[in-house]
Amino acid sequence: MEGNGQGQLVEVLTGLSKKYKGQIKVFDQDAKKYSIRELRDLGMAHIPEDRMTYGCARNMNIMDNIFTNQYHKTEYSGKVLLKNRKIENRVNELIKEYRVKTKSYRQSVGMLSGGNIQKVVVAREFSTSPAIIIANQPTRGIDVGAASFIRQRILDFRDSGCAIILISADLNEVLELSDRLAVIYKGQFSGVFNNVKNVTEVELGKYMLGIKKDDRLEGIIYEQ
Amino acid sequence: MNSSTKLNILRTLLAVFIALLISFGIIFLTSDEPVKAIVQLLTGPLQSQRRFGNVIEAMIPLIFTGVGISIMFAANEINLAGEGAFHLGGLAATYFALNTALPPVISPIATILIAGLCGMIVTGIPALMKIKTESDVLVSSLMMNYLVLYFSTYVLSNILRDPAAGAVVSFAVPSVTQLGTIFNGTRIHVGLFIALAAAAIGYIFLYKTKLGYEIRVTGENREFARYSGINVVKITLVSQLFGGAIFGIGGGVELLGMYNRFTWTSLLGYGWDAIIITTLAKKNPIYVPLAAFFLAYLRTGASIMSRSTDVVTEIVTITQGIIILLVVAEQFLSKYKHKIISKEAKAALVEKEGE
Amino acid sequence: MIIEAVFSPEFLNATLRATTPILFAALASCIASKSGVINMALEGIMLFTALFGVIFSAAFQSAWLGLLATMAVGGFIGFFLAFFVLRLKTDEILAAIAINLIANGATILILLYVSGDRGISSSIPSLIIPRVTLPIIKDIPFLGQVLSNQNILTYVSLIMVAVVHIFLYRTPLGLKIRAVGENKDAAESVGISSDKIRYISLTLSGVLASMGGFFLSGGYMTKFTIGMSAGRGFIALAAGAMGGNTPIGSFLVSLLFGAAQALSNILQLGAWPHELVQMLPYVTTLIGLGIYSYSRMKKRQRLTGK
Repeated sequence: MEGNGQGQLVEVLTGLSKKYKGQIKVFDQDAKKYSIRELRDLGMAHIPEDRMTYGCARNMNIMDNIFTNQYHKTEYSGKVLLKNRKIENRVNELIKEYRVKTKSYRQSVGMLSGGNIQKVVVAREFSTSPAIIIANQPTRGIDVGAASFIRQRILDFRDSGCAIILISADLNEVLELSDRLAVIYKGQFSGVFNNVKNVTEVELGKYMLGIKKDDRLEGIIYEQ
Repeated sequence: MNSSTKLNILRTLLAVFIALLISFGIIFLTSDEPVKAIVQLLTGPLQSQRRFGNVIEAMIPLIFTGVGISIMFAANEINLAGEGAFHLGGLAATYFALNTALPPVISPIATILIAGLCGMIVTGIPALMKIKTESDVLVSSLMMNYLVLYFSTYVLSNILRDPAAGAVVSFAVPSVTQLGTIFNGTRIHVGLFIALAAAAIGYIFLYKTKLGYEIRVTGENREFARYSGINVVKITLVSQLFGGAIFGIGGGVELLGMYNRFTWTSLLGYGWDAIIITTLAKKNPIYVPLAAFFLAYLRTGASIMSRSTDVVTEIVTITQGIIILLVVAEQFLSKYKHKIISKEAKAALVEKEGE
Repeated sequence: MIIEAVFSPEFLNATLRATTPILFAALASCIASKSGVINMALEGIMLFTALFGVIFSAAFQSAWLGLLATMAVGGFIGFFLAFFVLRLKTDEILAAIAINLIANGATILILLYVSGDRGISSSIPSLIIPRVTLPIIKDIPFLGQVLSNQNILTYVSLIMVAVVHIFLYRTPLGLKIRAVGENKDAAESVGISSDKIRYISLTLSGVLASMGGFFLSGGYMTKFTIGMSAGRGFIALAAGAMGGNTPIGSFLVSLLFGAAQALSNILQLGAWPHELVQMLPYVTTLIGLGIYSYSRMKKRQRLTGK
């Protein structure tokens, strides 16, 4: 359920906020010293909860939106100039691969449907072959086709060894996709389940409402 | 060119047209010879080579300021200190030229670069204040303009003033530093090439380089830029500095090309002109020369009109204001914009379904 | 010698005089900002109303009627701005810049057309609001000299500080204005039309600014000179912002800028280079803005535990 601290957790994990006590380690290094750019270059991807505020620039076209996390890599730009031809090609590939419904990469993102915008977001985040994906409500408010496409991609990445933190209010999605499951209640982990197959919605519900709580979890932070 | 862009151009043209109509209306109301005035306004600049030359000369500083502000506004920062940057650029160019003795070609180049540097400082101060103190750039940049004006008037009156000259003007800038004229019979100077180059460089910078891309993304959606890993603080500062440099260079070029002494005792208003130019040019440096030409033509026409009829040049300022109002009003003709956009979107969907 | 001059009652008297136009405009800025819209057209409004003040007072041969008519003009311009920003969705800064530009050109044009004057309205028989001496107050030592013998509009501006304060914080309309400025969506969800409220606040903003404009040419000076607003509209923006957009806060900051203005007027007569002295109000604004913003930033950082 929302409002229990997931947002802050995501902010802190993705580098958007450095205000926290304790430690977050990424690949055995303290995450606090890394900027967002550095975290992303290390292999972190982030699908934001609010795709219009954080996930895209609605007045820019698809190409400009897909490349904000990789334009600085040497295959796409020199010291000063962007390698526009290479970028165009890659963008067209991604549009095909992620089945974004659009006439051309020049279309402005704000004109796309919610599901297609999310596909652009996902295309951007997944196209850098991330090692860590933080997905915050990735299928909220989009059509069924797009949602199942994205869920499948998440599973594919999981299968290839990527570490994925999925935050979702959709219990079905969470039970279907997760290997391990944690419930946050009022800013703390109230339950952790390592064997998701045996967890029922009812059980989860109790933890989500704070009826049940695993006291061993006081103050545990996940390490990546 | 898709129909959305076509509509935008149409809207802009219509806005200009309406603004002109209103201005003509005012002329009819206030003048004893309105028809003659309007004819002079619209065709005056075409009547002689010298007059057309006036248009081109007037265009040069407008191109610089248009490009400068396009870059600053691309980062979505409303920094209005360009006016002061231009002014200080002119002062700095004068001072530097008077106090150094560099060989030809190098002298004007170095002088112009110094002017650019000073321009950078003027727009940089409000930008830095925003970073260090979170103070609003709008007000601090406006204050900078007045500060520069009074500072430069002080320098003019007390340091640069040529006692032998009649008015309050500086010593003459050495001819080796001045920018030569290109076409005989006009005052069009080499600065024209520099200005056009600035527009081209500005365009390449914003649309073909990494920095330009970062600036544009930051301007479109700052949160998104930050989330993507862009250092928005640094990028915003860069855009303000770069824009200010172009303003400063514009001031230096104007001084060295059109004047041989520093005579500016009030703000010339190029900073405000830049706003209308960037509005017409849709913040794209490559269209700035076109918009600059239009404004320069209008201005020159107004000047010719004021010399031969009883209508004053200020009518054009009113026209400018109306144009800004109409072009920037999103809802102006927005009904048609929506119709066309939804038509396009439907067509796109139909195409994709067919695949 | 300067110190003595600064603390003399004459100087403080002059400060109050100089503060008046800035104060009117700052209050105007407050009301607009409280409703969530920046009124950057104050400069243009003051310029327009300085001209119209002269024209109307001459036409009516009455300063007070002229003032009323001018206030209507100011309100109209505020309404005009609101129309473009709210109805036609123009960016508030650009619309204000357009209005300021139009003001620059139109005032010169209108002055010429109406009176044949160029630059200063010498041939318009305009009237001014007079200065008065307050009967009892003038005998109070020191303060009497400061407070008495001021233009009536100066007293009006001081009263307006209280009026605007009461209006914003004690009346239902003021509450609605603040609500819309605080959180537009929340206000709309309880049935307040944010557009209607903003139309009202911008119109009121224009009316207040016009009083400052009228004073410029009908009290502070006696004629209209082109460009006579001289950036006061922009300084007022800073004053409002630095005063937290509250009437009392803006008043205090406006006093500061008024003092800078008065100081520069005095110093210009003296040995100091007058161009540098003229920088005073603007430098004060700049530095003041920086200090204010910095302390606000630090406070915010402390509160959010950075």
